[in-house]
Amino acid sequence: MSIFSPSEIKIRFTVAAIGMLGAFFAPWWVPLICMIVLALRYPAWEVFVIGLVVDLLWLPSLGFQIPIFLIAGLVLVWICAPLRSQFLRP
Amino acid sequence: MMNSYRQNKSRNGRLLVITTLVVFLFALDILTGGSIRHLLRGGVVVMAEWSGRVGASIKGSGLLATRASLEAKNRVLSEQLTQYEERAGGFEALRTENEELRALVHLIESLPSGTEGMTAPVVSSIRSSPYGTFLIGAGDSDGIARGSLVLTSGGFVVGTVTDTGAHTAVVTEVFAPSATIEAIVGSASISAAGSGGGNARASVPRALSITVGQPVVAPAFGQRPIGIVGNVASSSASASQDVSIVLPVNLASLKYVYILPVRN
Repeated sequence: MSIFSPSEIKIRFTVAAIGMLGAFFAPWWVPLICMIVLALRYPAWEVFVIGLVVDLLWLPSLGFQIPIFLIAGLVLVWICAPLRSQFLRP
Repeated sequence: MMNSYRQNKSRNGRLLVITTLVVFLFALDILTGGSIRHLLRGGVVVMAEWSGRVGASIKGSGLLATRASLEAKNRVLSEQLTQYEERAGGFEALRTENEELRALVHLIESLPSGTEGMTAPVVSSIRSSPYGTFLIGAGDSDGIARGSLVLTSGGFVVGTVTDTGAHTAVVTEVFAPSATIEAIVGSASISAAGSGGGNARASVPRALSITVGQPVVAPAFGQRPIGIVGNVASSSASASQDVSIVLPVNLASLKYVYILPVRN
């Protein structure tokens, strides 16, 4: 099944929505899991957005702080790209 | 094969554009002094208020909690019961809030005269943040400044304000993960390493006598208490003992905190 089939798009939207809402209300590992699932299965730009939202919301700005979730999003999407193209053919 | 190659190339191109956009947004937020993050945090306050109202109305209606029992009773009695339950729920919520605010009033009365602080509601879940931070519903416009101390109703320092917006502020926990703070237990000076959720650990020489329940104070916060000793573990093979420090209040249940300005 293609990753662009309607059911796959629904799954992708649902996971991304859980991740986005989780960034606001759920424990921090909920958006992290959503980011990992999305990055493993789809070439998902939503991973960046979830990471950005988590860091903008919760990162304390006093002193130097590493935006872990944003970096994790970038790393996950770009590192998983060869894996996806190898195993998940559209 | 060629088609698949082109699809991958266009997808990677799109991802690259969005990657650049996200990094640009993050940099823009830093350069503009946090304009984007303050907007987002304002959204959290609004959503927290909405979800609170929806939750209260669902709880008040008794739809989820007492449906099975209400079906067994007649219509009039069940309506009365629902009304009473709603009232009782409302009174209980008000009583809890009143108790917390009363405790904060006691704290304010116990502070030295001339100390000017303010009470602020906690508007986010403590567990949501991976950085040991939480949001309070007061900011610049209420006189909150960076570096202000955040106290529980018991007078324990729970964190410091590290970022402020117009109506929100970010509080970083004293015992945030990977944070360390110099503290004093009894007469011993220790370095406590935070592990989040109001817990910290420290390693102290075995010769020192430390008991469970002993208060831990921080010189950096004007000798105010930051926790109590929760557990002491030592072994005869080791020259040191592991001390667990805990905040004697459940962080997740905090609804109000007291903000002490920097000058105090």
